[in-house]
Amino acid sequence: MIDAGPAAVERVFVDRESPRTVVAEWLAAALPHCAWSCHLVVAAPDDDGTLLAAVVDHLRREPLATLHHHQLVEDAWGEPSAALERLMTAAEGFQREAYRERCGSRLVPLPILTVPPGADPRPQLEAARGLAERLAKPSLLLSEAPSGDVAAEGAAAGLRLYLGPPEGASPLEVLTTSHVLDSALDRLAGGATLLAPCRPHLVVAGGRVHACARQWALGVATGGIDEAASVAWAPEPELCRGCLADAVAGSTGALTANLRRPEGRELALRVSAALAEAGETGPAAALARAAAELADDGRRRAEARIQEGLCRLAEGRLAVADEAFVAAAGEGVAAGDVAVHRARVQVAWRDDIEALDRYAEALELGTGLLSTEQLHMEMALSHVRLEEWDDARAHLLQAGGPTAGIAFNLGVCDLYQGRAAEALTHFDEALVLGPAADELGRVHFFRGFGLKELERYDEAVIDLERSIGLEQAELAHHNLLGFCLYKLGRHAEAVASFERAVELDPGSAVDWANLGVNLERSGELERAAAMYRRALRLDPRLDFATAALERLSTPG
Amino acid sequence: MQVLLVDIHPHSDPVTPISLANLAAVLRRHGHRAELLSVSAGRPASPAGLRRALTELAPDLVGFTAYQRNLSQVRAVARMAKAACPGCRTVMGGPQATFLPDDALAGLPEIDAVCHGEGEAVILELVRALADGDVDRPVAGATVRQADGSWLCGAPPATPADLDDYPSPWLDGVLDPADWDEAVLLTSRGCPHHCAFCVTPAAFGPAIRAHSVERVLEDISVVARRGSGRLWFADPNFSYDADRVTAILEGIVRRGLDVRMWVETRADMLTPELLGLLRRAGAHTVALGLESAVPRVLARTGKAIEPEAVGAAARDALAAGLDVELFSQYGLPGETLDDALATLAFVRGCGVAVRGNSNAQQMQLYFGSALARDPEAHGIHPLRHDLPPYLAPGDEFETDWMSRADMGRARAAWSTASADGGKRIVS
Repeated sequence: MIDAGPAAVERVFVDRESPRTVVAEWLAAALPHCAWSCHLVVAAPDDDGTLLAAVVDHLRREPLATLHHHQLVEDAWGEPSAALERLMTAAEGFQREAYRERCGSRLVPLPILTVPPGADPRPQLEAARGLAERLAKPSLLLSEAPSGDVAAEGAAAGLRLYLGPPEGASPLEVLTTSHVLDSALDRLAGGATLLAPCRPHLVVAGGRVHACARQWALGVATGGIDEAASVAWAPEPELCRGCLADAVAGSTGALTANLRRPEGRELALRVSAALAEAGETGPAAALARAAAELADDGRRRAEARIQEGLCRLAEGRLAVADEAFVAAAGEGVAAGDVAVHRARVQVAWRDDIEALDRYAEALELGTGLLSTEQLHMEMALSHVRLEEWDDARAHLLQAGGPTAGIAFNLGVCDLYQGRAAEALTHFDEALVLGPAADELGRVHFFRGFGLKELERYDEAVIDLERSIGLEQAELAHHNLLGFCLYKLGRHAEAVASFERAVELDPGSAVDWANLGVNLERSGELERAAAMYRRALRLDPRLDFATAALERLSTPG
Repeated sequence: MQVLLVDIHPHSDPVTPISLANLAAVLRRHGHRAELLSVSAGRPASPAGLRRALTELAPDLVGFTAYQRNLSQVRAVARMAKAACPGCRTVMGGPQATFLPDDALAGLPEIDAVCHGEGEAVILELVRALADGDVDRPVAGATVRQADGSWLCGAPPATPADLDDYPSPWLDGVLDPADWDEAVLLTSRGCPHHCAFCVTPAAFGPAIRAHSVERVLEDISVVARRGSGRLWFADPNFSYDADRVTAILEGIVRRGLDVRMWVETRADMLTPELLGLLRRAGAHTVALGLESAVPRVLARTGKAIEPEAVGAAARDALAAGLDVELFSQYGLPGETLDDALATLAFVRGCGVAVRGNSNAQQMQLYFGSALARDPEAHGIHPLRHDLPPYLAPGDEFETDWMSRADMGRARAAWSTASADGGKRIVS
């Protein structure tokens, strides 16, 4: 394949304010470098025809050029607009040649008829039908959501209905947003990656050229329009996700007006999932909510609310997440499934008592999300966190297995109930079964804990050093290792462990005191006294530190 | 000789130019330099970029696949080529060219030759004539403009009985699967059926010639290894031979090829065993030709299928976890607006989503079909009588049973029912 250059700009947006003669000069230079089939979107009336003249000149020069001329028309409901008539007359000349002679240059008129706020859009609908008969592809720019009848009439006539602008926004913003949305709908239909830049475009606004709609919105320009003919489309991918999310979430009204709710719902949900996977849970949740708004039946609405809840859960906005799950329950999602989701919210909230109620509900009602064994495991973990060892054990024994997780937690239950030897058996079983990579450190820590309880300090040190190798930032690991080293009389090493502990938590009074004990045993009395003093400043109730300090202060 | 073959899709994304790539493979095997250029709405180049590419390559011959829908762009690029590369010749092949009336060249000053026969055979002869500097000699399978402005039509070209005699553009590296989201394979040519609206029987003849199963599997292997693994078969009649289809699918499974396929097949072939095999081989969608759900209409077009059998096959395929597309059209001979709407209801009743290729389109009258040869005899009335000779009526007709307004109503009904705005993927 030979290459005819990089992806060419397919759409150029022009605002109301940029000087027309300067824009026309820029177009003359830029259009040959834009796509051979290009859209020019002029978000303001072209009263003197300056821009149209530039377009016609371009088409006369190029044997292969199709120009889709989207032109805002503000007075199509009253007296015939001279600008509109000029566009239609110019286009019809090209249409005749194109259709009769298969000429390669075409001017496709796409007048955008504006409907003033509060006005009945039927005159514009009628005008649009007349323009369509003249081979134009008109559209309507409405200020407010159309009635169902108007939407249906628009769809029957094949009209695009733009909706807006919302308060404070300009028609240009509505039109660029539509472009971002259309690009995403195309990618959806074509099975392409959704989190990708939209079709190549430029925005000419405020006398400057912007390399994409988002950069225009952010005020980033590639240069002045009176400078070199810049036609370089240069999206910044990190901006695209936000741009796409905003466009889709803000287009529920437009999708409804154009009878494209099913596609819109699917797009919103799929983009939401893609954003959630990329870790952008906030925008993902907003899109899931938009998908729910666009859903036409309870099942789809519930699917979207569940997605929204999951995103909010991942985002840490737990109350909103719970609200979304409750809303999904109202739309007919299996109550057991909702109970599972709500239990996870409670777990995130560290309210295991409430979580247990939700899991019990799921157990009773049944859920497709977790098996009975998995539910028992979740309940066991909640009981472990609540230090309800007998209850935890009861659920663990119903959690299927054998698995490393079950064996490990049985060991934890035994350990905290004073059965260290039995606990060690379970921890050994867990190690044989192979715990998940992120749990291996905990298994070694608790095995070390059990060995410490059995006063097998040499062995405990080995497990605790492994646990620290895997989880270096866990304060408890360093504390316990320091203790075992102290018991073995390896005070210099114990000092190092407690130094790491206070490094991790400078507010840990007991670790400062432990540091003092080991320094004292190492003969570093001044440093030991300083450590005791620091510990007592944090917690004056540490009697052994008070006693040690008195001992060190006593001469002889 | 330097040859440039240009594929133009003015209203869609680029599609693997399999037919032109076949020609390029043949040319390269014979020592010529042949390149492909794709021009599309989906990834459009700029006029300046196209001019630059033409100037840099400086081709001696520029070839096009012409359809009614891209003829204006073909002509425009041909003019650009002649302006950018003085002395270069242009040739047009494809469905629109194959049956082009002899006098059509008069209206196509930018086209120097029209290919009527199998492109692989014709392009070589044409290039040889150019290399010999003898543009006035007859070329088998082509009509060639002469130095004096007249044109000369050659004899029918000789074509091989075994398609494997032609090199594979995938195996020869003319096409790189990595360049395409979806690879297109053309594994057979010809169609034994006689549907009155279709040009294929006349273009390729009723006898089906097919590449061997082994050759097809080799092509698929390359696509699976180097590309996305998505592929579809552009054969006019991929499923004419159930044993061959089964052998290809079993070969894909046996070789462990990771592909996702779009397959057009016949309703009467879709047994539970084949559905299972399709799934195992990686098919995600089966497309079935329906055309109309009204038996009376089908009978008039010569399409020998039973709509109920198509419906049953569609439901079986959906139940087997495959997506299903039903090809249909309106404006057929004998078809009323109610018939057209009945087809829409039938498609929906099968549980098939009205999207992609399941969006119906108005029947098109193209050169080469039985209907286009004598539309009035079939109750079809072209609306324009001022068409240049290189254009067929397309969709600009009424029938004894549907007015222009009725066509619009059918289009609107399908568009309203569509889940994707009515965009058909395969035209």
